[in-house]
Amino acid sequence: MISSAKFKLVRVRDRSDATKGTGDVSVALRMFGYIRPHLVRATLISLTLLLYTGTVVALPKMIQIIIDDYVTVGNISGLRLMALGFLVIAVIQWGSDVIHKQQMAYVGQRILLALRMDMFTHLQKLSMSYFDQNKAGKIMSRVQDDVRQLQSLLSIVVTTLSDVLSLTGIVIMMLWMDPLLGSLTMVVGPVLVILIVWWQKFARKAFTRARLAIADVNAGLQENIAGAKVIQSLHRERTNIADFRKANRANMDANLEATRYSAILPPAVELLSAVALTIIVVVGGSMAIRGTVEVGVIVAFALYVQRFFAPLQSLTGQYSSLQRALVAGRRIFELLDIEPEVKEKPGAINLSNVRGEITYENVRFHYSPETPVCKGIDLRISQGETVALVGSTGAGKTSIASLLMRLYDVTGGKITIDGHDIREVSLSSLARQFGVVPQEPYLFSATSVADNIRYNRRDLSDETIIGAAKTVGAHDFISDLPQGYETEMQERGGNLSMGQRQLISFARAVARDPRILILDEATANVDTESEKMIQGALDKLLNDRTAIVIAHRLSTIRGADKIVVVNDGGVEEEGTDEELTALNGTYAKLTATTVAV
Amino acid sequence: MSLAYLTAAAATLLKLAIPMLLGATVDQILSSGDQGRLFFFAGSILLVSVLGGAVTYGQTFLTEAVSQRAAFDLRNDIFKTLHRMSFDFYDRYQTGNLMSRATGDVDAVRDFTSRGVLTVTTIIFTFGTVSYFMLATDLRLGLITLSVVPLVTGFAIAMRRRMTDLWVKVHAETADMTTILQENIAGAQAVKAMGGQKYELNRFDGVAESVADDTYTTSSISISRRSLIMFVFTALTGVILLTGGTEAATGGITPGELTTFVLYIGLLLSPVMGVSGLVKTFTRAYAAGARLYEILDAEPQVKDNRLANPLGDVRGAVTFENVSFSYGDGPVLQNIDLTLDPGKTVAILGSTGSGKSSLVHLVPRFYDPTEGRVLIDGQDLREVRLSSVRENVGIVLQDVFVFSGTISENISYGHPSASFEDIEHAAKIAHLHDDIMESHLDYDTIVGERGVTLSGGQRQRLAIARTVLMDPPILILDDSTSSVDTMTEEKIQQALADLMKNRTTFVIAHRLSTIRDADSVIVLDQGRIVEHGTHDDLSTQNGHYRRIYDLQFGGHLVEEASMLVGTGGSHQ
Repeated sequence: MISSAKFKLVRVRDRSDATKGTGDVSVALRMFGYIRPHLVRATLISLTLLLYTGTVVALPKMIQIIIDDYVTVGNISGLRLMALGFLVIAVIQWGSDVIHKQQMAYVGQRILLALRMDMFTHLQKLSMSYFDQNKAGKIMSRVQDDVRQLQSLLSIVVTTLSDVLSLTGIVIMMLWMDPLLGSLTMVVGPVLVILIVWWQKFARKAFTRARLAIADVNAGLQENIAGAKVIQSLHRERTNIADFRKANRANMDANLEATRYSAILPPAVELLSAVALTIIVVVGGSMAIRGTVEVGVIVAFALYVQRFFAPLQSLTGQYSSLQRALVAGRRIFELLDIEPEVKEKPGAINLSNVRGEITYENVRFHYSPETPVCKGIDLRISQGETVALVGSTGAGKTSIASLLMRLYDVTGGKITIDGHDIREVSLSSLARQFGVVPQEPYLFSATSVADNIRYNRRDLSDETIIGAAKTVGAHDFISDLPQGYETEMQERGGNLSMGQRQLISFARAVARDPRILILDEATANVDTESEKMIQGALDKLLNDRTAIVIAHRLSTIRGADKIVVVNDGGVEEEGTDEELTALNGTYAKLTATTVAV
Repeated sequence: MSLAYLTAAAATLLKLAIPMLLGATVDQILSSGDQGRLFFFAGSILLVSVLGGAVTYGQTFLTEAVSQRAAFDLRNDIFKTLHRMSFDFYDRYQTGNLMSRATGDVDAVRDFTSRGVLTVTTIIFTFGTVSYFMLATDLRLGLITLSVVPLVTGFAIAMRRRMTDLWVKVHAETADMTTILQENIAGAQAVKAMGGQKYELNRFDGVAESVADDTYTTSSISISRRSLIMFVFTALTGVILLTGGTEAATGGITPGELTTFVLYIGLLLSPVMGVSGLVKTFTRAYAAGARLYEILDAEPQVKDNRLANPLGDVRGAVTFENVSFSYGDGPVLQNIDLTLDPGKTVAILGSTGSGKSSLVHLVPRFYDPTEGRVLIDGQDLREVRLSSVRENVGIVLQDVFVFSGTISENISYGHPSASFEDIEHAAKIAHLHDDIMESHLDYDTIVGERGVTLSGGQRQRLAIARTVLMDPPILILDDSTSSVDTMTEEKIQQALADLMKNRTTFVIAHRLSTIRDADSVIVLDQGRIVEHGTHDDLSTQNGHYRRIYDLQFGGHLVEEASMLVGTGGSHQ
């Protein structure tokens, strides 16, 4: 028996592998689009970077001249002038260093901002089906981690450029000062590159192991903290402590193993640099004694060797960072390329002065073709009518309501409001028609109670907000909160009870004074007092509005103008309580058992 | 540890020998021109590097070993402490808070023991040796260097302070940005239904702009700081070239000594850059240490008496003797007297906050009563071994925790040694077995955070299966079955009914059938038992029970009634 979930995981991975081949170049090109608005700054960065590299290369040469032409021959007045020149170059170096780095930081942050905004804007456009299919954590990591990774692409490019420039400058300078000594000294360069590449192969494995090991440790901690109460009630503490100790030790071992590799590189580089110095001392020294080079060259070469290894080392590390950044970039652009399913038509009209007449004409809908959810719904709801949708879980009640709000688009047929196909009207004007009370209210944190009721309707006055709260019976408990209406909501409304959250959700719908009300009755256990309040609020809310209620309470169902029994993606029965009871079908059976209770 | 210091010192000293050797080379070339001496210097450079490299390697490894060991011990201690703590501790601290201590704070301490120790030693020895040589060779040059370096170091530390404040701001703003993002993903439906896209976009834009601006300001300061330090060192080289060059030209020092000085300036740079980071490492580690000790020194409210006897064979009589309880603020339970004979069931009713959960949590000794006693078979829970209490009380509550692992590991979580037959048997009794088969899962399917997500109903039956495997004489249940479909609900009710047979049961009741079947019913209101009797007794009285009964079951339908529709419906 193969787990279908495991199978799915494999399939998903395959798909992402398939897209992998397409375009590192196209990612880079699209990134360039983000740099374009900053071309002036980019030019400035390039110029100052060039200047900075020039000074880095020039300073050792300067020292050589000072030693050879002034110090050893005793030209003190010239020495003062040269020292002044040295300081001038130092100032230029300082200035160009600050400018190119700060400008880069600025451009980097702006690009990051642009990317974040583009992704957020795009996420807002994507339809519900995207959020159904992708876990929140995964989407979060794209917007946060991938953007951060991609940002490093820019600094990689600049660092690489700077490294290449420095290396070229140093190589040219050494060859120019003395071709023979220069080329001999540089022999260690390729050796270093080969060494690092070879080293990375082993080191990367060790680092990966260390990363996985700490992930295990953290997962163990997370589970044991979050599940502490359960673990203690099942008295499994001792087993878990032993398990954790094992994971913890594996992590220590993996880290020490990784250190074995990471610790070897710095001494190896030092050693190679010592080899270069040895060459300079022996070969250069002999030449100096013979008089073919001057002694200052030895000093300058020693200083160049110091500056030669750092860019070389950083260059070898850039390739894998570049790979990571490109992968992140690909994922970001993949997200930006997803076409939203629900889109506003160009030239869509604004829906205004809505009466609230709704029709479903042969509406079909599915999330995936194999499992149709709505198989031809026909429904007519008149202005001001309250319709109760009744049926078992999975029958399609929630989908019927979601389709009306265009959280999804129908796959066949059409839905109209006042005769307008809802796909022909603008999304914002459509949203304005509805007041929605979902089964589980969603409250926004770090905003006050008042702002949670008001939400995006900045035009609603405080009086309207308080009035709405009074209507649904939420005013009293809100006033009792520490700062009343200004009390900040904790995450998901954690500082309120379930019933109170429901009431705020009701107040939100009332404050909007919508023409159409969509209500998903909560089945979760709210305490009895709140339930009574909610019931009262409900009656006021339904008054004089077109309403679709996904009903669980008998009182709601009986109070509805029309009852629709939904079964297997279609309307099975439709009518008033009396009519349906007389019909003696599904509804009659349903109510009969209830009475028996 | 002291070995680590010693090796760090040795490595630094060896590194400092190279500029001296190069300086000597220069002088050799200029004076005697003895080629043989060059080989000696070159050989020395190589030798010093090999030695220095070996020592550096050993020292890096050693410090890492010490710090990893420290982190290992610290994590183990924290983990043990966490499981020593009782429920009150977990009421006080949120998971995220504890996680950040166990991960971030441990890392901060580890970071300090490795990098901190290293940097301090390197700085002290580099600076000490360089100043000694400079002062010994040329007083003036030495004094110039010695005055500039501490000044720059002080400046670097001061700048870092300013950056810290800014970083705190950036962190807070980033957290805000994350919250908005998270809410827009988790609450996408709510945002869309209210047409709040534009509003959210403005909100996000505002905070994202601040993040961009303030991050830029921070890195801009950091860049200025680094560049300035670099400049000071370059300028210092210029000054040394001038004054030292003049000295060398007039014969005060040799050109070789001048070379050594110039090369030394380069060696001083990185420790000075590192010292401001060290301050941060230290302050972080200090704060982290304080937070860690807060956890390690915490005392659990419920303490196990390890010398106490275990409960022995439990019949299952439970008694509350004048029990009062409080979490610290107001009283939650007051003067509860309740006796339950072995095998009997008591249904507990009351509104949210009336004390139902608190009452049942006292039976497995999750908390100790503030007054009075709770007894099982006549023995005060505080006087018997805690593990034996937990072994004899099974709990099935609404919120079921699924551990990362296979289904069968999850069922046998409290009984790791259970055989597969036992596990399967328990799953059958809990009506989970068929479900596993029908959903194309098997007992080896990984569930939990890193695996398949189980539905609410499956989770609940998983908890039932766990309890079946435990086979406890005393049972605590919550019979609510929220947000599951009707077929599942029926199965859960059946499973619960099977489980309750022949066990002493406390059930937080939400359904009429449970209450009717119970041997007795208690009604809680504000922490007191206000009514106590059988269903028949209480329903004739016009009291609390009657009122709650009417409210909860009067206008309520579909929970129980839609079963009929459900079985006719199409369930995938």
